Amino acid sequence: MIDKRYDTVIGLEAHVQLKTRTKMFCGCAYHFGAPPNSQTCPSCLGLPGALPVANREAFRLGLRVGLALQCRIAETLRFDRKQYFYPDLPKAYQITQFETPSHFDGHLDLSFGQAGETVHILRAHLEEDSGKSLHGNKDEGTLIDLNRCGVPLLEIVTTPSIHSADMALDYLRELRLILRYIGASDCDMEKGSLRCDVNISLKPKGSTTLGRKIELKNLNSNRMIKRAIEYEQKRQAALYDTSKGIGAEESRTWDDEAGESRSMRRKESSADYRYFPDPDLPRFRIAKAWIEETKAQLPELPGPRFKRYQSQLGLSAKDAQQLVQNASAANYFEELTNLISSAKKAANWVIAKVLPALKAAPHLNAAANSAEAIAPIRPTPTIVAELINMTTEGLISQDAAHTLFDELRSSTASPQDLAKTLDLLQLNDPDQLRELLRQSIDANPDTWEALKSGTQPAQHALVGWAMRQSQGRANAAKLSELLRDMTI
Amino acid sequence: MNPSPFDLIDAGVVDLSLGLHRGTWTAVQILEAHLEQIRKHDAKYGAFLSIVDGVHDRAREIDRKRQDGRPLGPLAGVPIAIKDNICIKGQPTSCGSAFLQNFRPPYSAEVIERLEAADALLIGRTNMDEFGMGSSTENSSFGITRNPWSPSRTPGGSSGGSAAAVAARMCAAALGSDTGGSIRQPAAFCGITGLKPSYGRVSRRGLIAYASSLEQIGPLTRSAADAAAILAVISGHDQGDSSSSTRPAFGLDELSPLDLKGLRLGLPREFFGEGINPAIEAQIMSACQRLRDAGAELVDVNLPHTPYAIPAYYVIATSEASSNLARYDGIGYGRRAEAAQTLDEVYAQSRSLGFGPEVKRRLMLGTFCLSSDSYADYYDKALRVRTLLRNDFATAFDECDLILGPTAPILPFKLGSLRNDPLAMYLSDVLTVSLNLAGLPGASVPAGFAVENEQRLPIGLQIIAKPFEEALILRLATAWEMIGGFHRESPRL
Amino acid sequence: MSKIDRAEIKRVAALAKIELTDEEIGVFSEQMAKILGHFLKLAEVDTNSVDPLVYLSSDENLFREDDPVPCLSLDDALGNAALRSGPYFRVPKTR
Repeated sequence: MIDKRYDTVIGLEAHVQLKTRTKMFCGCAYHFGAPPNSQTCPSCLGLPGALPVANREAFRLGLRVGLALQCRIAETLRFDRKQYFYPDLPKAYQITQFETPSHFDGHLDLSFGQAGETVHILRAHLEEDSGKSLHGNKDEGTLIDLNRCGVPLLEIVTTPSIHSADMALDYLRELRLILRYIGASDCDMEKGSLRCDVNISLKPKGSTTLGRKIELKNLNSNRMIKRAIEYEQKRQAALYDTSKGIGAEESRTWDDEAGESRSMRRKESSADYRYFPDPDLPRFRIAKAWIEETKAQLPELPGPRFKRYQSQLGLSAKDAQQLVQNASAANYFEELTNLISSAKKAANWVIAKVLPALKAAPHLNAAANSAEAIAPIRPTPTIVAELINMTTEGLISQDAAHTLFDELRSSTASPQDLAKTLDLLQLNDPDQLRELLRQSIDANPDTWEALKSGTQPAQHALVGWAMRQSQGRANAAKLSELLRDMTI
Repeated sequence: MNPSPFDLIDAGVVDLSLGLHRGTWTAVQILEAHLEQIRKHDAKYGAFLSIVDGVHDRAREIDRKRQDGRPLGPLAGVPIAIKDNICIKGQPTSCGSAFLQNFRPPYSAEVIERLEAADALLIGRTNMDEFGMGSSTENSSFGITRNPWSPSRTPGGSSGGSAAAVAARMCAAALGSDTGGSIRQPAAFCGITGLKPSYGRVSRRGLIAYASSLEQIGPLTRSAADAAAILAVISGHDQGDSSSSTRPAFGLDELSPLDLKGLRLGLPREFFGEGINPAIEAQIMSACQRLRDAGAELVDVNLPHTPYAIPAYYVIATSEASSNLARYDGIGYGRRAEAAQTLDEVYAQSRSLGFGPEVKRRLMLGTFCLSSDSYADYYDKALRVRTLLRNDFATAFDECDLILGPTAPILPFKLGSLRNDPLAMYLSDVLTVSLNLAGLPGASVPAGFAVENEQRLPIGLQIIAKPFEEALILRLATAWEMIGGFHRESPRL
Repeated sequence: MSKIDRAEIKRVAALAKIELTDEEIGVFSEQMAKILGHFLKLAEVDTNSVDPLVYLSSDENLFREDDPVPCLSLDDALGNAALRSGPYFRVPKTR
């Protein structure tokens, strides 16, 4: 915070679309970008007489999140109706958990960025998403697409335990990583599968009383969140400076183009939602056994994994973080480490080759970025282990190994065969290598003289010439060795 | 030999399907006889809103099925009328409301699918109070329905069209829905049998919701056996309705003859005396005594919270209604005010044009009761009283097997006589709403007549059982039919 | 607790999105005062040690498995809408 006189207090409400195949209360599939209103049924259209039936998988994913965030789990829970009229809400109520959130009272200890800080989780509850309003041209009015209507959401609400825009982003990034790890959500802000509202207030430095809070809406990227929080810190500080303070709690929308927050209609903040238990849904009871089973199935989370890579595998913090950021790549790394017994080497390979390959194939990345799966890319760790062994044995060069990796992305040939086909096997025959060195010496008599008189860099030049002559196929280490023998 | 149309319209569910299975008559003959009765009389009574498109094809299809020797369902060829709040795919389904006048649901209710699978003939849609809100069928946007026993009087409501259609032999049976008495009271007023199943017994999927925690679909018929035949088809868990019970469906094998000896029939003090028409009370007491003469034991029981049933019921029903009917916003379906320029105008004007006064009143009441300032005193309080009402019944059932009483405290009243006094209309539901609050099954069966202005007006005996003991109700009703015989009476149209 | 006067009727009507004429406001405030007065009879009952009855059924955890079922066709989904624009429902501009 720029301003030394105030403390910033931030709470985040993240809406996360759960990665189920069907919607929360009906059997419609949901795919982002499907043709408008093509993924609807009587239930999610709110047709007269239609009823909701809860999706077990949404509960299971919600439970995973609750456990990953160290939440307490409600024993019994019910769904309530939150009532308001809006065109993208065809029932004119949203089914949510007002009185009994499935999960509450948890926390996330940050492992990256502002590591060591803790963000407290107030509650995380299941609810259904609304449809989408599209603002067409003036004559057309607003167009409504109800495909998204009814998609399961987990609303994750923190306490006001965040102190800065950076910490807010660190929390969001780690939250997103965890949710991806446990396969609960893609958390893709661009596709709206992670949306975030920010509650922010200021208080005089050191004071324990919270100031009036402002809710910021319409924040669709990390960059916008940071900008909006920093703008709001300045705006509120200025209000306190003039001793006017914040008049009333209100919702403000972020206008990214103008770079400012603007008050939304007061009406929305004074709404009477008339919550009451939804009579169409039964009581739910989360059995202890289900909780235990789900807990046992949780994968190692990014925080603990990050620490283990450093303490047990001896990786640098930088390498460990890079690997941990992508669960399927990290799984690839672990598999490879087991095969070649060198974490460092495996890490270098995964960082140099596997991560870029994953990034270049977003569909693979999205489909597999959960802790349960090894990155489904070719070549598999077993093949890469062979490549590494081939380099260790001097059969191929490091460069050739990288080339082979690229070729093996789309080839099913064995690395050995492919190396032969592509003429990538190293030249190891001492006679041929000596012949190359002789040619190099003949071509560079001055350099040879320099080497003999003890100028070491001359060795590199001669070996380099020989390498070029062999079109990179010669074993460089062996060339150096033989050259040294020749000078003695 | 051609069956006489009279036999066909007078035969009930069980006999019609039996005759069809045996080849005594065809589905087309059954259909024609009933359509003829509708053509002859319904202009006067107004029971039907429309005849189902394609019903002739369906009758021919059933006949073909029989000719081909393919198996026929248990309700084969039985003409059943459907209350206008139960969705039939592609057919107009308007819930008695101008708001839904042109609505054709793209799906069928679970009960409709089950009836169709049983080869029943869905003959037409029957009139009702708009969204089920009323006890007289006067609140329909599409005109009133008259009582076949006395055309100047109400058939009751909200399933008045269904009850009148069954009483007037325009169909063998009808489906109604009962939120606070809407099957039993019209059954009583029209001299027929109406059964409200236990909450959760029958799927509500496709029943246009009024008050979700209270209502059930059930049959209106001219005998207990017919009601049982329909219930056997429509009951049982539906995965598409999370409030439908996972117990096994009701089965006809549960209907062995009932030995009245030793059967304890509870008479709640609160269902007799003050506020009950003396002619009704006398007739019900007479019925009870005849059951005692046949071997049953009469015991006095108490339902002390009965005086609070009406307020508890109306708080809960209107609260849920205010939420269930919020979806009628003029956007996805139903009426849309053409003049509306802004979104708020679309909402307010469409709803104001589409809803009648009783619906508006109940939405206002319910919206008020759920408002944050009123929630504790009204909605939450009513839910607590609901617990007490359910406990009352549980205690009473410690001392008896079934509870008996009148279905309605008043006789079928003159059309228009209660229109301007909504509270008086609400109070007439006093004997039926407790069951809905407690989720209990109950039936109204014909128990005789009172004579008013030289007109015979039917009286209904209400039989109440513990949850999911419909079989016991129907067994007693059958035993009572043999004693009373009133179910055989039919109105002269 | 709110008093049932014209202002309260207007507040409730706005929440329920029902447009009332002046005359209706008059009739409704009278009728609703009477009816809500009757509802308050509930206050006579001591419910301090009584839980609200929210669930009639003892069935719990009625779940659906996460298996997709066919969706409605576009014509079925939009067929009942008063106003549509191509594959969309249409309302007046919301912003």
